[in-house]
Amino acid sequence: MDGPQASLRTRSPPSDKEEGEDGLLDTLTDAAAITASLHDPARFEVVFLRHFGAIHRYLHRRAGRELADDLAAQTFAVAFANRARFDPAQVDAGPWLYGIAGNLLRTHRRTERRQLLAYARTGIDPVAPDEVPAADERLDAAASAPRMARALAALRDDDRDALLLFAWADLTYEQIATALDVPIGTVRSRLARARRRVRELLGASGQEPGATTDPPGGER
Amino acid sequence: MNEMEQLTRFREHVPVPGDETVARALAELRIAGAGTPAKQPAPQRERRDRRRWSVLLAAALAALALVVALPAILPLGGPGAPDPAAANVLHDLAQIARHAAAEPAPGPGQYVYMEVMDTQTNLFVSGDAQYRFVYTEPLTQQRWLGVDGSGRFVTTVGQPTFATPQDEATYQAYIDSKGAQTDKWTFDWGRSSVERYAPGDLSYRDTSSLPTDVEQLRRLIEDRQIVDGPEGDWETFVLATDLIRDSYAGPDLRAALYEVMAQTPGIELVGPTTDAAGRDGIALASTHNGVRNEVVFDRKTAKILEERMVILSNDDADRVSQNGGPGTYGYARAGQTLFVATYLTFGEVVNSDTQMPS
Repeated sequence: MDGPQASLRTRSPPSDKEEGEDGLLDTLTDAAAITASLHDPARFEVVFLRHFGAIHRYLHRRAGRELADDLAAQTFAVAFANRARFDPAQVDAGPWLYGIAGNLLRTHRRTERRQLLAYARTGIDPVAPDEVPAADERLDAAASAPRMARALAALRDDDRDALLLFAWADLTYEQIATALDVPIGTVRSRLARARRRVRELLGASGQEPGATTDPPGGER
Repeated sequence: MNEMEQLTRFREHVPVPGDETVARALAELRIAGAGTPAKQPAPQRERRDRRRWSVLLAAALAALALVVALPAILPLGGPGAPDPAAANVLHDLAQIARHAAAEPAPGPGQYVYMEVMDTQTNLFVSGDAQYRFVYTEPLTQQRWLGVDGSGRFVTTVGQPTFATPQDEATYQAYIDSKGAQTDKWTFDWGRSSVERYAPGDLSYRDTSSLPTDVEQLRRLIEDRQIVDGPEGDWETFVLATDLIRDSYAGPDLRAALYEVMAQTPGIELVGPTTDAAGRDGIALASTHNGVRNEVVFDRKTAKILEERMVILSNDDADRVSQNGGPGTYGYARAGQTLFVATYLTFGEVVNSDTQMPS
């Protein structure tokens, strides 16, 4: 088969450490790659290679590896199918992709909350049971992680989304607004509410005295 | 260590995906790409649709005005002023609330019981965008909320209904396509679950110290000092109704909350209505970004019977749908009610998180 669709199918899969063919990872912005992919679908692989690892890890932290495998793949399939709608003025496709991932995750919110509550009750994380922290971190993790799990489970869904995009996806307020498609003021409100609630719940469960409440770096 | 540092460390040992996972996902993307040409926006058709819905919506509103013979559907006080028709209804509700018998407030070890019936319309889009269906999911939840923030939720998810026979057929085809993985991809329809919350996990607002002076209360709400939220009069309406619904407010406080709403611009009178449980009430609403939040009040008790989210405009949906299929309202039709929460039992005080009100 000739044409752009054939070239997407036949391109060999580079590993995440390779640049990809033609060094495109270095030369094409996300916006340029997506625009080019309208005519040459293979160009979309630049976006995949640049963001798949981060999107997968974010979903894994929220919902576990198995769902992350499916939802991360779906995220890029949905993004590819809707690439004509991407706003090229955004340049960085990350917020757009996190928005899609979040929408896909929405169907599994009850699963996420149940996993968090199970972690809080048992001290065993269903999301990452095999991921053992270094020895010197175990005590601290064992003490605080179940409390954090309970706090995250108690947040409103929208607040949890905003908070985890900030803390785990390293998005700025503006990027979170893009990902969630809400005004930036709403992002500020949700983050403030979520952080206050988490602070309250950690404090109510016995946070160590002297702990500060200021964010590292403040607003991005 | 502050809460953000703790959160950053939470599950930080989760690894990046392995080569096999990446290769499989890339293969799926290539398969999707092989069968899916790039989608091009069709602005002409969408604009036509919007005009058509605008006409229908205008006709529906006009019909509503004729049927219920309300003094005003549209605000008469001009921009920035409260709607006189809505304000009149809110003054009446304040009077009813003020003269209602004070109900016993929960004490230590006691719980407030509430039963709510939700109906939510969702869009599901599979990863390859091949399967796309709209379904409405009913859900009933019993909530026991303790004054210490502990509680228990019992949730029962009902069977879905699909927007069209085509949506149902697409759902079935999607499930069939999953083969051995069907269990994971079926939703939790028809199942019940129980969630328990330790003290402090849930928000129980002690409203006993809130002022009942209308001006003081209004300032606290507008400054978002009682409940946080975005700026805007539409949100003030939402927050005031939250306080009436979530808290165990006494008669004077509830009356003051209604008076605060009566002073708030942008609240509109929707009119007499019947909730999903068949109870008569009167609906008021605030609108923001094409989404109307309707609240149905009991005209005899001034309690909240039902809340609804109605999509008035697809403009916002167009913007949201940049995120791909399952945008927040990308699947909604103008005029469609996407979410309904009907409060079947509200505010009964019980002695344990398993006791039913008598």
